[in-house]
Amino acid sequence: MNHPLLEVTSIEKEFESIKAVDRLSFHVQAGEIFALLGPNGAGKTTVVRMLLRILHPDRGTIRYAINGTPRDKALPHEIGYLPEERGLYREISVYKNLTYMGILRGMPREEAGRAVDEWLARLDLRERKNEKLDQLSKGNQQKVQFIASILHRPKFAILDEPFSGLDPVNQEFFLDIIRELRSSGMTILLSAHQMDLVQRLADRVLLLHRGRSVLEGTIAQVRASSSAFKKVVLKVEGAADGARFERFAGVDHFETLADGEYAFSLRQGASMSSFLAAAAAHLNISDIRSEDSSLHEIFLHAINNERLQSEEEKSA
Amino acid sequence: MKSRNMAYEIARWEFQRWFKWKDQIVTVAISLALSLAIWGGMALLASDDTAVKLSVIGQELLPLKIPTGSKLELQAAERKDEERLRELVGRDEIAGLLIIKSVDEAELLVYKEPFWKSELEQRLTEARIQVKIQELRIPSEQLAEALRPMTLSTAIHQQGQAPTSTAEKIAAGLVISVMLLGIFVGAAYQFVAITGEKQLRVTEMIVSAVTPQQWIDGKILGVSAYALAFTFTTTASIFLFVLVSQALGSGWTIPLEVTNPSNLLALILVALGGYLLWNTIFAAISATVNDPNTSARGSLLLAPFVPVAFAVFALKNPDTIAMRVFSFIPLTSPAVLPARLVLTEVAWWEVAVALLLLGLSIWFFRSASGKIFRLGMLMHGKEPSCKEIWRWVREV
Repeated sequence: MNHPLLEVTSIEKEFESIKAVDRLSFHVQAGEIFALLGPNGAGKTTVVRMLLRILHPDRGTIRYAINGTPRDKALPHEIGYLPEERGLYREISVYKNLTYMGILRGMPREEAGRAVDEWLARLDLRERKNEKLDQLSKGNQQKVQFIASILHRPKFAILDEPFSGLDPVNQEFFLDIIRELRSSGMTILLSAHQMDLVQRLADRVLLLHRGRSVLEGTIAQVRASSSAFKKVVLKVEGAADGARFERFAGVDHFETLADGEYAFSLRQGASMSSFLAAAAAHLNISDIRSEDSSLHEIFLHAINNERLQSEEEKSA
Repeated sequence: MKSRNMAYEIARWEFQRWFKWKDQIVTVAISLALSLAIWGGMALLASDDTAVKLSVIGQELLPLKIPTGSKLELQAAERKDEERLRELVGRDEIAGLLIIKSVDEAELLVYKEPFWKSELEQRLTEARIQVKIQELRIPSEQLAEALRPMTLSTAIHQQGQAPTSTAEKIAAGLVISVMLLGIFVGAAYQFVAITGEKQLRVTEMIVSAVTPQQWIDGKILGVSAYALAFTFTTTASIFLFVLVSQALGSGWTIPLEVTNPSNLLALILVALGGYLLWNTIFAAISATVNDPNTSARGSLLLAPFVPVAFAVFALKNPDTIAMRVFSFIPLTSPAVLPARLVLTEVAWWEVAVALLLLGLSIWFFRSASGKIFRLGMLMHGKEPSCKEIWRWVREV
């Protein structure tokens, strides 16, 4: 039987009066990039800590099958971890920090040293290897932290907020490296809130809100299952009467993007033809484009729906 | 990699994190420089033979005798010269003017506080006694016989212990101090390392790779090894100081009790045991500290003073029942036993039992500390209460 690399079944975690994770289940297949998404306080880091056995779930099970045999815990050399809050020794050199982390993950000293040299060269930090960590910029410190998490070539890497502190150029660079690691056979679980980056990278996502799963699947599946709006942007010549816009067929709401440019959000199932016919009857349209809702919008919509649902349940 | 090796790797990291050859060499060099400076200064003081010139009026009432070697130099003066001599004192041209008014009363006028005052008082008292004896007309032979101290001859049994010399007492005091220093250095580094790791959030990186017990074991071993290395350097510095002083003619010696191989081995083992025990305790305490700048638990770093306070009593009598009991109790033995090893003969079985008890308590505290460490290290934002800590310990 082909077990998923990680299988999480109905885990729960409560801190004093707060339920941080509530009956959460998901699985990660070998070789995929799986993203845990959610706003601050959604429970992502708590989930990650439970996956690493830093915290123990109050209920539910976590099973790994990294080498085919299911186990409760991954071995140190099988797993890599990039914590959300950066954790290396600031008063110690980059090289020493990294070799130590490699050794703790089971690498022989010499092999760790060689791997550190290779990765530092790859991430343009070769000249900085003997500098203390706190002499590096925030972005470079993040690079070092990233190296520490994948130096030993784990089969499964958990990256908690890997893009934080990086400028756009380095964000792109990290996207390439993560894709490359996946190509080399590494399975990756990402926890992040930069949804635009994640939607370009992840094979599957799980949207988390208040410790519960809101949406799960591939980006296409999430879009299909979401009741988020289809967006149409019209560029209009001449005067336009905004008061009439919401009366166009299928329009849920609209927003003004720029002078003469309007974005219309259509209700799920609304007919594009009917909308365009209504718009063309009242507006002098000079340009038109349609957009899928971003993961960010889908997420906001899903959260909104969930809130409305729970309010209805309460009032009922 | 095996767990035993992982604890070794962590110990190695911790040791190298704190141990710097440069610092050790500087410590020894400072010791050498200090010993040269102290002895140079003392030689300079000894070469200063400036006499203290003191004019005395009325010496016929109280004949003062100044022994050879004294810096006091008396110059008899007439009463008519009193005013002139007072002016000389006012200009700091003579050290002082002593006016003897009677056998019972004298006045001393000086320009500044006299460091030789106690010697002068002693000479005046001696002279006064002589005058009084003469007044009582007691023959000096009879008086000498009456005042002669009783003769008490002391013989140490051939199987008994040689008396404790001053050098041994000083050595015992130094052994206690070096032990205390080693404990404090270890405790301080342990505290700084662990609270720092909590604040820098290194914790999650480490505990995702190794178990908390492996981590604490490695930390305890590494910091204890550092404390031991620090002790070696400090002891070497003291030896160097004594040897340099010897060469410069101090007459100081290093007691054989310190260099005797069996005693030396026992001292090293007790020191290592003491460092391991205290570092185990401090690792647990440190793991429960949220912010080292505000936590009241930092004051627990002073706890090792308690056994040292007991050990000081060993300098007076190292063979009391209390001292022997304290030599066995693991929290006090690392301070009391080394002092006794230098001051008296300690049976081999006493050392063996003390080391065994120390080893057992290290094992127990290691398990308890591992539990506290595991839970405390991942607790941020608040400190666990004593009740919570006690509950964790009871689960061991």
